[in-house]
Amino acid sequence: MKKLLLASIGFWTLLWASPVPGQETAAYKLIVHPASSVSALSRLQAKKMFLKKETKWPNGQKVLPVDLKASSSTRRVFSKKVIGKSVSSIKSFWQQQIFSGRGVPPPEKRTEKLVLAYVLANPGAIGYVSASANTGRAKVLAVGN
Amino acid sequence: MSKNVVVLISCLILLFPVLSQAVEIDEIIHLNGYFSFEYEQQIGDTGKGDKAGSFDLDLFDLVINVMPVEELRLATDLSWEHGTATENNWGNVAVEYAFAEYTVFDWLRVRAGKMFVPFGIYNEIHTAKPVFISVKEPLSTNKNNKFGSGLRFYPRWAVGLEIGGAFDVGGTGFDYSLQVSNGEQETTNPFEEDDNKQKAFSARVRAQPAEDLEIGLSAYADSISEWDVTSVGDEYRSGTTRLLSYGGHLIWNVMGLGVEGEFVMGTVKPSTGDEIMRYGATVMLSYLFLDRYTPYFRFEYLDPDTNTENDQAMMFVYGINVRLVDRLFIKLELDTVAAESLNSRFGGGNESYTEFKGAIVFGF
Repeated sequence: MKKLLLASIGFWTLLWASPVPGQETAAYKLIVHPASSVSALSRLQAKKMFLKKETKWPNGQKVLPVDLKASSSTRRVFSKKVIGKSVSSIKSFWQQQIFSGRGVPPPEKRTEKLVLAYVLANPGAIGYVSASANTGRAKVLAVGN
Repeated sequence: MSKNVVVLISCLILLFPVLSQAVEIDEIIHLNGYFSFEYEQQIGDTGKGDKAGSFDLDLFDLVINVMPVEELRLATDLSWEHGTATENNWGNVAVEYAFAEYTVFDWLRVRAGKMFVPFGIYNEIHTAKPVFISVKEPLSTNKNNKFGSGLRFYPRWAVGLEIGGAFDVGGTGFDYSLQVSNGEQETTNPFEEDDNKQKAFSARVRAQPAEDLEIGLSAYADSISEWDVTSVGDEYRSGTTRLLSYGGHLIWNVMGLGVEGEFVMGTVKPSTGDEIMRYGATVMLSYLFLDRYTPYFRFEYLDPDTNTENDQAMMFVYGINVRLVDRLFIKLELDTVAAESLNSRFGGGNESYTEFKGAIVFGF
């Protein structure tokens, strides 16, 4: 009886926790303030900026990265393609930074519109939106290898 | 009193529109924290584990970061351990850290306050269970006083000043921390008053030669008044013990495979008597699959005094960490302790035993 109960708990834990296949076909656009003189970044540069390991633009301005909320499919694609890690791994990285007293993550915005607004309001900002999003006056950067 | 409150509220009301126009409040104040609930039970009747089996409201921590401007950060971690109830003297409430940090450049930031001592892998992760795989942090290198050593390799906290920063050299990322503090005391509050003129120094440098590889070196030196003094009545006489610890660590993650290793050694030199040489090591292997399941194995070893026979301790940890949903984890493991008869923590008979440990942890 005890064994059966344990097996049942184990089974349902695994079932509950099993991953749901994600739709990861969407692409993204990397955007910065319209006044930025930068027009392209390497994947490594973008990664370092979003992990706050590269904190200055070439003109000396502070880099202000902004993320989409963790459940966003655009964030999922961006995290995999640019940072090379899953969103949960990146969350784990930031929690480690926070709890060890080393720093805080970039702000998270609930919608792409809010990301765009943040980028347009802050000259040093860098964000990403889905490939189909209207980026308005924001400058779209090319991402190289 | 009421006048002050009115003035304060008026100031906040006047200030609020200005703040809300410039930046959102969640960009100034960051509130995070974690929670850990555990269960432990020794398997079998002989050993020094938890024979009854106990639930433990291990931790509830609030971590607050305030950044009024980008360069200035005030950070604190407030911890409530074991379901704190001060009326009964149960549990513990602690300021894990509270410091102000000013960033001059990326390669130069200055901190002042109470901080974790920068040493190795685990001391800065400390008790933040959502960010490490196993139920407990390694004893042999991080809490060796609970594994058979009389004195820790380094204290867990310190009050003082620290400089640190990060920089790149030829594509390799480096970061460093240099800390000067009161060090460890026994008769005074080390976070308020130093009982000797000599300060404690700690240093750590880490390099990232590849994206998923980190190598680090750490050192700690201190002079402790109380360690070896002879008490006459209630009086303490002068006399110091020199504590020196140094070590290296490595973290490597590739394709889900994680390798973590740390080695710490050092000396304890009392003003009279023999110098003690000791060392501890830990190696952990883990494998993350489906971005959710992480089985792991860890080996720990401590020799508390190389001149003493039969005082070593080892631990074998086998476990699995499952991320149930975002930042909520369940951890299940078996810890087997194998110690020798003269080990001060486990010795004296029944030195070897196995304990089951389980934890539910959540970080936000």
